[in-house]
Amino acid sequence: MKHKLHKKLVALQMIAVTSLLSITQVFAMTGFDEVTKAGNTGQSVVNIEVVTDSEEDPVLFSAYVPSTLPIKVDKDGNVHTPSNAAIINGVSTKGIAVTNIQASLDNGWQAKSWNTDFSTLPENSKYVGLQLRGDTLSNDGSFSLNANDWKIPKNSYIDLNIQAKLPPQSVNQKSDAAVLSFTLDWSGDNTTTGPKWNDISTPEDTSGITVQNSSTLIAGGTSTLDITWDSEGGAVSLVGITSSNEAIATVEAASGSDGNKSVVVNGLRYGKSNITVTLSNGKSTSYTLKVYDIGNTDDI
Amino acid sequence: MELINRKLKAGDTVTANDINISVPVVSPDGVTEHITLHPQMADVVLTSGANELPAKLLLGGSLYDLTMTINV
Repeated sequence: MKHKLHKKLVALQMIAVTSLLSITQVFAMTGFDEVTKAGNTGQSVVNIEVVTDSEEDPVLFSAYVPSTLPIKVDKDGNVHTPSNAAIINGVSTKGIAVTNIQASLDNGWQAKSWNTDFSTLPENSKYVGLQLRGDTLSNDGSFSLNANDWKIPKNSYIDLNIQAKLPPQSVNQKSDAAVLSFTLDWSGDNTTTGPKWNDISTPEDTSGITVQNSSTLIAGGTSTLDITWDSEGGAVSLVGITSSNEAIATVEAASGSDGNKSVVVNGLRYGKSNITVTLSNGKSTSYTLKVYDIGNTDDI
Repeated sequence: MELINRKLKAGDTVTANDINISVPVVSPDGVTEHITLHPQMADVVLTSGANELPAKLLLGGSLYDLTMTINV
């Protein structure tokens, strides 16, 4: 019997690297592993497999992890983590999964168990506790993962839901604390679907409501949203303004007249929150409010 | 930091609106942008030599102290 050999190029596993400092967003592009910032590293392991007769097309492994993750702590002990850190599956036909996360601590930082009382640790000591999707960092730098919670549907993403703990800090400092290596493979669910990262299929807004922000909102500050609509002679009024994530932004009471209102928004922490405006005629619109962080003040 | 009127001389008055401060900010998308702000300061009449201008900058609800020096 004559056997025909097909060479298949199959990426079975990818290890991607995330460092803990400033964040750079990645975008899903099927077939590409994108590193978005000079100096950061993305890796993929490519296996070449020789198989007997098979007509199955090879599928390129494609996933995206944040190139960097910023963690900030203020002198009141409040720890700030990004709200939009995600791992994206760039494969449109198959699910993938994160199977391992390993932290390599750097610059004198040490991993500390999540259950540690960080408030009792020495001031300015370099201990960090991390939690990703509810799974926590151990003292040895490993994460014990709940496997079912790390499956990423095809062409979708999962939020990292990163939380961090640090000892009290009183001295300004900035350093890379760790490199997180995410190991991903094909062990995801191929049938489940999920939301698409930066989904552009949002239907066109026909509400007739416009929302404009008067200034750049920085965490800790406020800005004013100007909301306008056709009040039809006062018949259509504003009935509600809500923030989807009140840990990031809150809204004050609106002022002004029907058809032209202003509302002060408070930026509580770095991230995004959807501000939903609803009118008495049932129409509503959603405005993505961005809360900025202060960049490198050495560049002022 | 930029002084808008660069041809100042002794006796001229510098106001907060004469000074632009470009501040880097990071969006939730990870993109660094720059916003331009004016400091908070009293008007200062310049004299010959080094003029120290104490000022404050409001960023994210916090006031930061600045000291600018204009040499005339």
